[in-house]
Amino acid sequence: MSIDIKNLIFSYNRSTSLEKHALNDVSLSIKKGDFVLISGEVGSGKSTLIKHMNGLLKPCSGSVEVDGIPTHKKDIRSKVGMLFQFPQKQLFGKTVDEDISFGPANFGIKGNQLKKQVHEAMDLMFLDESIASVSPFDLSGGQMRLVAMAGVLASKPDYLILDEPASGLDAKNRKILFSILKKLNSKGISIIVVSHQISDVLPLVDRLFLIDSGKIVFKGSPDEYLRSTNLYLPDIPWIMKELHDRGFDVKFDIFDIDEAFYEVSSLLNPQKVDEQ
Amino acid sequence: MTGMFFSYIPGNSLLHRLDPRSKIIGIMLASILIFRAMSVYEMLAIGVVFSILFLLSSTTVKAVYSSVYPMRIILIFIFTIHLFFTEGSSILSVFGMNISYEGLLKGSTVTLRFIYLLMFASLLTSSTPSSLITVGIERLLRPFPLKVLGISSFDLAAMMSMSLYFVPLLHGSFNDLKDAQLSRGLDMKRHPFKAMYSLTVPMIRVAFRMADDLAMSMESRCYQGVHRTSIFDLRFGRMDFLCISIFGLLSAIIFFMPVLQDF
Amino acid sequence: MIQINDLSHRFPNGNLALDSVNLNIKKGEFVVIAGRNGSGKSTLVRHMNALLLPSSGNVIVNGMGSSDQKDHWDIRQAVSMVFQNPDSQFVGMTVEEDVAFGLENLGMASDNIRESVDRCLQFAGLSEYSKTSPIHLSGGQKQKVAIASVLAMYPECIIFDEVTSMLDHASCNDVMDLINSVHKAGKTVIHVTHRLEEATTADRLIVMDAGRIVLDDTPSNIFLSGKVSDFGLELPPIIALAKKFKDSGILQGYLALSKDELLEDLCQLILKT
Ligand SMILES: Nc1ncnc2c1ncn2[C@@H]1O[C@H](COP(=O)(O)OP(=O)(O)O)[C@@H](O)[C@H]1O
Ligand SMILES: Nc1ncnc2c1ncn2[C@@H]1O[C@H](COP(=O)(O)OP(=O)(O)O)[C@@H](O)[C@H]1O
Ligand SMILES: [Mg+2]
Ligand SMILES: [Mg+2]
Repeated sequence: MSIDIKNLIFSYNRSTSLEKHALNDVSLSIKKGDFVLISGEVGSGKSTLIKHMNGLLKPCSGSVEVDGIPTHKKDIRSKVGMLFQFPQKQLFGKTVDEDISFGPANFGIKGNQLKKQVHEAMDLMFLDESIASVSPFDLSGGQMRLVAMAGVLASKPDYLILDEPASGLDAKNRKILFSILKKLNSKGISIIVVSHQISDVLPLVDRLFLIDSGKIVFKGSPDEYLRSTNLYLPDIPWIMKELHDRGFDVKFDIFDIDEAFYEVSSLLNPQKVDEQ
Repeated sequence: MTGMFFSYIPGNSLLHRLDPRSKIIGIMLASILIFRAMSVYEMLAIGVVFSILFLLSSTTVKAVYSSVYPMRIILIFIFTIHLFFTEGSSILSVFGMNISYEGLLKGSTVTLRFIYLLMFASLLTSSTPSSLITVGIERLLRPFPLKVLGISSFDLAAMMSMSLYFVPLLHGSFNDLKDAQLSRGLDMKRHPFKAMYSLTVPMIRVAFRMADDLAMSMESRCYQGVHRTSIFDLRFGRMDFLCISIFGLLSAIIFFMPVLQDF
Repeated sequence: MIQINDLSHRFPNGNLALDSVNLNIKKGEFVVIAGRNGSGKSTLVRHMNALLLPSSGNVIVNGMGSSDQKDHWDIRQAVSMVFQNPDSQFVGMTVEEDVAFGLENLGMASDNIRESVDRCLQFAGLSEYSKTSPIHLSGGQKQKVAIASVLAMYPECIIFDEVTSMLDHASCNDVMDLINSVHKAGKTVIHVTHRLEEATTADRLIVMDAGRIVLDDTPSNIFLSGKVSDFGLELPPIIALAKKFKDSGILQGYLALSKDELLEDLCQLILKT
């Protein structure tokens, strides 16, 4: 069970004067249960790539398969949930319940099963049952986001793709979002996060894909990423690596503030730290 | 090809240097002539006027062509409608439908009129940046009492220039929204009504939001919709006067051609 | 230059977005206003240029009260605002027209408009884009155009309402550099954000929560107080690490606010022992 992309090439407005190459020979594979991050600068092709994973875009050449089914042959959208940037924009229902039911109902779920799935999705998003009959537009911006997310989860996708999910969120809401993603992942759902910012998400993920001008320039685990030499590093690993490069004896594949503190303190005063 | 459709081509030709107001007035005169033209002579005369203007501009044949070509479907449609549905002496019969001599004549005339219009418009747009066209229209409209309609010529100009930016932006938002609902399993063929509903409700909200933001940004930059100046200094110079006079004279001659022929 | 006394704001739907706010902003200050989503930041700053009017209390800009309708244009000329969404604040077909928009509203002559526009575009590093349509710009460039557009009106004070929140890392740094140089050019700067790393160069940091001002001090003092997490904010990792070294007595003196500073401090310390 996996999403497999082989030698994917894609251009917008093919064979017109506005033709725009967006993906160039991309190959990757994401297994069921993985938590991956796809990162790269704005305009590098991240959104274009993920739109291939649920068949919104079809490859110009190469292949995209979800659980062995080519996306251009059959509809696989019920397997792959997709949450776009500022998902609260997609709400339209007269009630929260109607909006969340939209997805699963489109995929043919009916009656009690539909009710059950909507209920479960709301639970996962910490949404109280009492708001089910409220108009989504009467909620706060943060709650609207959660409703939109519940609307995608209610279809019980095996893969959940999120495009820039943290954009515009403050620190606390970001933490809540990431803890929800971790929880979903522990239930066996693959999580694919697209973000131009690495530092927030990196500690959570199993694997990272870096994309630049439509090409994959790095694939690997967070540890491998930190050990790579020529890529942009988040601040804490950057400090550790600089210290390491200046000949000090510290581990450098560290994100955690406490760990970094411990590492440097023990270098300064080995006995005292050991006693603690 | 699509990129050249009625687009501006930078240059320094006589047409480029004219005040946009002269060119807009010129276009208006030309359209009056075009819609009045019936005979082959008038059509020819308009063709000659176009050729002169074409030579005075640095426009290319390709630019003119690419302003007319994308409209071919509509042009063919207009032509066929007239061809088949004008009564007169039949010259040919296709699929049981009669093509009359009058139909052929009328179809050609009407189609040629549209082609001329597109060609003249391409002269204007290829020699004038769209911002200057807007300013020109605003200045020409200023003396008219638009107040009765509840807007000012400034509002109208602001709306024109903003729509050039916001239409593509709204189009982009619509595509994003469509992607989002398609990802939630929306099937436009099976549930067209539901599709409409799930797309229009959020789209209206997006548009209102944008309008709100925009109004805020305009207001905080002191926009009042009353008298404002422009970064573009329009000067109606001697050249404009000369050109408009010559063009006016030419138009008058063509306009009265049918009358003159009677003598 | 901006004085706010006992300001409360209630929206028509009953939301109390500001609750007895008192604030005094001096000419030339660089103030950062931070707070979680919905804490009332936008509502507060929109009072500073008369886009919103008080439900109770008053706002005085350069001696003019915002309750007097006829002073609004003067207030808005003195205090300009740049907004969050890079896409929805354009009124011109090209960059230069957008920058000219405010000056056209003020009724300035074409030559003078042209001169100001060119100067502001140069200041923002956008001269080469003057004839470009904003559609073709990146998010960061769009925000820089928006900044040039308000600079052109020659305001004394510019409010930036979360202008960086929709940008990626690199554009964000670009825009912050421009904001810093606007401050260096002598303007009063009020920068709204929920990313505290953007407060490091400010004179003053104000933290809002639930419509009230809850902290108001220098950024270093607020960072060291350890209180920001009570209000839904988070110290940038580098500052959190620096604070840990300082709290434990390992590092002394100023709190390092950037990664280079902290690295330098740590290197010196390690070499000493
Ligand atoms: N609908 C479209 N039409 C034409 N070009 C597009 C379209 N969408 C994206 N692009 C172009 O494709 C490239 C990749 O875009 P995108 O996948 O959105 O990047 P990212 O999500 O990494 O910011 C960009 O250069 C962008 O300008
Ligand atoms: N137009 C409005 N109508 C009703 N309530 C509003 C409106 N704008 C903002 N609010 C409410 O006021 C509070 C403060 O909002 P805002 O100033 O936008 O916060 P911030 O900018 O800090 O995110 C929020 O609870 C928000 O829901
Ligand atoms: Mg994207
Ligand atoms: Mg705000």
